Amino acid sequence: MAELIVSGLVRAFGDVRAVDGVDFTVADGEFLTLLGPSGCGKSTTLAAIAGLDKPDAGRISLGGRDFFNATTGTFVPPERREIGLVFQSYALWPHLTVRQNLEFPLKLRRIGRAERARRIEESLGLVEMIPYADRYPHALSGGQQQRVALARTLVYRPGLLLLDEPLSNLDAKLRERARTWLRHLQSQVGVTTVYVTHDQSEALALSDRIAVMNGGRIVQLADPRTIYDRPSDAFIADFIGSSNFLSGTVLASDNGTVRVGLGERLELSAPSPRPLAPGTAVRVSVRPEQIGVVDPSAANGANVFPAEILERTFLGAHNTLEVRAGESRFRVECRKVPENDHIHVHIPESAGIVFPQAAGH
Amino acid sequence: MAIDALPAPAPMRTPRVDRGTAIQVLVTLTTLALVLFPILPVLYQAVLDKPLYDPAATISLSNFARLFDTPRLGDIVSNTAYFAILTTIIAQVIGVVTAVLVGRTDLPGRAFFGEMLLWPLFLSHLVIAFGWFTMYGPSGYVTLFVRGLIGGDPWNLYTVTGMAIAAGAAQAPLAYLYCIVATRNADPNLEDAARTVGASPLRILTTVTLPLMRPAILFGVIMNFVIAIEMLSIPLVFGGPLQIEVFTTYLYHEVFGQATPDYGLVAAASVGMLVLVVGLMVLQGRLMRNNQRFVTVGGKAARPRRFALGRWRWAAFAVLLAYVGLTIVLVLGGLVLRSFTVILSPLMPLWDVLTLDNYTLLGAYPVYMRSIWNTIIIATVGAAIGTALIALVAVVANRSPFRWRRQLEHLAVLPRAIPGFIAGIGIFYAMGLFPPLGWLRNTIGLLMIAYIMRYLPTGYGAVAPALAQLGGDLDRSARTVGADWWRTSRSIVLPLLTPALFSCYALLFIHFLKEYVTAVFLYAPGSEVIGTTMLQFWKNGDNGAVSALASVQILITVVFVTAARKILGVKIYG
Repeated sequence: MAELIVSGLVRAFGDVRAVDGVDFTVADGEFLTLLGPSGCGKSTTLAAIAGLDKPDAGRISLGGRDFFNATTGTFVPPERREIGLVFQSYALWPHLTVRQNLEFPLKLRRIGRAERARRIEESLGLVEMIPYADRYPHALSGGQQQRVALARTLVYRPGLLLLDEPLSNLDAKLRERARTWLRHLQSQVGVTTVYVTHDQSEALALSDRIAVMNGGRIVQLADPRTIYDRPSDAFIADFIGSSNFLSGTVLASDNGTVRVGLGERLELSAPSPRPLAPGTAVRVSVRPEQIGVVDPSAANGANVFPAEILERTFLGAHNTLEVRAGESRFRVECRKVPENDHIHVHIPESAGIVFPQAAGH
Repeated sequence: MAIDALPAPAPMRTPRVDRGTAIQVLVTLTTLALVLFPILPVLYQAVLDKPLYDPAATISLSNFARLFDTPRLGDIVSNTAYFAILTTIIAQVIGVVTAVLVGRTDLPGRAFFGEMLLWPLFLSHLVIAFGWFTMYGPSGYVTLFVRGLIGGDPWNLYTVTGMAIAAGAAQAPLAYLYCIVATRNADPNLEDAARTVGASPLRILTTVTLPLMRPAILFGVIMNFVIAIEMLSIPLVFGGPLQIEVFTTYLYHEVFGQATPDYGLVAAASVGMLVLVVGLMVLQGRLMRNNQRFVTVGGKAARPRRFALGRWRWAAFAVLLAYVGLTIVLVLGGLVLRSFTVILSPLMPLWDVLTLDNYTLLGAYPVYMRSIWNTIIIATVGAAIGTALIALVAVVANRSPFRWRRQLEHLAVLPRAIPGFIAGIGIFYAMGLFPPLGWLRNTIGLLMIAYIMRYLPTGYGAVAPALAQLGGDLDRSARTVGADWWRTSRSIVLPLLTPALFSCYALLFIHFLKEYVTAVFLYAPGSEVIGTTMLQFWKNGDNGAVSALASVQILITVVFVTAARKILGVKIYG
């Protein structure tokens, strides 16, 4: 079956290792996203899978067939890989109509005229673009071009679908619609898919699994829920969603839970995947939407702190409060804005994640 | 999903060398052969003491020694330097002033002037030289007319200064072209910024606008200087009678003035000229390297604001009209008028001298008609072959994984540093050096090869920027859907380049039509072109026939340029 295996992939440009030992496997029919900031190596990895760029080391294979293998010197050129790549720019050929764009890959495969027409019809139907078959690309909107680009790659049934930030040129509203539609289409067609994006909400919404990349390496590879709730380091906690980082020192460590002292008076309990010695400098990440504003009557509970509101920002669906508790400043999300500047906030024990200071940045 | 799996992709053979690599190697070798074909023989002959077909020839530096012993060498060098410098100054001053007036002011009739000022670019220097000769020569129409008014010789075109004025006017359009492009691309915000800080329009012109045009001006200076050094026509027509020699006419007379030309001496002199031109090109490359300072970013659709000339508007209009009238309309119009007369002189009433005899003569002698047909065939077919080669070179150099693609690009623009004169001599020698190529001798095929080599950089310059505009994803996507490099080039890249290829064809056609310097050494009975025949008959004093031939060349040019613009929608020069 069409299982993609990438192992030990390295690509260096001069002294810079753009991809520095990347390993992952995408199961047949799975939707995997490479997510990371620009320059993290995700696009270089995608280009290597597509055969548009030749890596320096490692191995790439699809369904047991080597595309690239540094040890045997195998390098299959892109046109012999039978893969589909949707470009960020869509790359529709401007001198050909929509139909001719879809026809080109079929002609390359020597498909007969009648069969070509049937497949083009089917593919365009899938992306709901049949009425536009005889238009030229410049007469289509961005969203329509994106659909045609996808139809062009699906029309010859590639063994692997690669998507390079295909939604980034659409406006915000359209992007959300296209996202839902894309996910639906992928599960319908059932093609193994690798998706590249720097947009974390796209990654969270679309993927079966996400590989978060940074500095040419995969820093975490897991399903979206785990990536969001249990980021493996401070970089991911910061990159996915938005997090507050509270600096402190470990007071005590016990059974997967540590007590962290924030400044002189405040103490916070939070889970830690690894035991930490007392005195270790740490940062605790907490998502703003998980911090609650509580009634003063609960003031003496665990993980509850008195705080002062410094600024209130109205964002439509919710409000953001900039607050100060002791020496720490952080953001809190809430539906209703407290009238009084002096409030109490509660950080549930499960909400915080403790990272040793050195692991952050 | 309802779509059935496709049949397994056609079994792909894995040949040791795929067709893409084969084509890339072939294109590169062709270009290499084309460019080295004229250079190597010149270099070789320069260090041989006897003609290169002579088996007794041995390596020696005696040619260079003889070159330095040439009597009047000092005169030749100083004439050439004076001519080239003055030509460049005149061309640049006229070019920059006209470009600023047409491109940046509210001058009346800008569109008309913009069109007229470019026309000399389409015509051969030989035609322009004969035009000046007909109107401003010692017995030219205008000269005689003014002499009648003031009773003495008003000017003397048969001096180096006279030549430089004619050559400067002939080259001004090139300076104009570079500058007008620069004025179009200027970012209006830069001038607006100067205005907001309180600068007057004149101040803006001198402190912002002109400095931003500096790269274009520098580029034009070196181009025009090189062209002046390698110019044969004007020095030959005006310097001949009084034996004023510049470098090119000296070489010309060395080859054609002697019963047995001194091969070694000519080759040594050619090497000297080659070194000078290559040096200037390298200098140009150096000067243009730090251009980032002058690149104006932004200002997408905005056009620069025009300076108001105020009360100078109509004065500028009058000066420009007089310039265009005297150097373009009179020169070309006079030449055409001359072709319809027995003799053109203000002392004779025009209707007494009108005749069609000159054209009857063209029809009567086969050599005239043959040179016209040869010229048309070389321009039509040669430009097509040249465009095809240039398209392949551009695609290999810019859109292929070929290992030597950068070197191929350098190779393709190298002929810019080879004067046409030397290309001609080189190929002439090459025929002696490679006897198997003898069948090419005396055919227009040889001229086509020479012309294509010479104008490779011109055509490449028209195609490469268009290719750079074409997003790389367009070919990458073709590769991922299953097309190999050559199929991608053929079905995606080249079709998208069509407009640029049309422009390239039009440029080559015009250059091939007007080229004569390269042909001077290569033509033979049967392969004459308009330019060589004009020179031949000018030497015999057949001025009527010469002007008729020149008029035919002008006519072909006008028809072609108009048709190319109207029918193909080609942009030639801007």
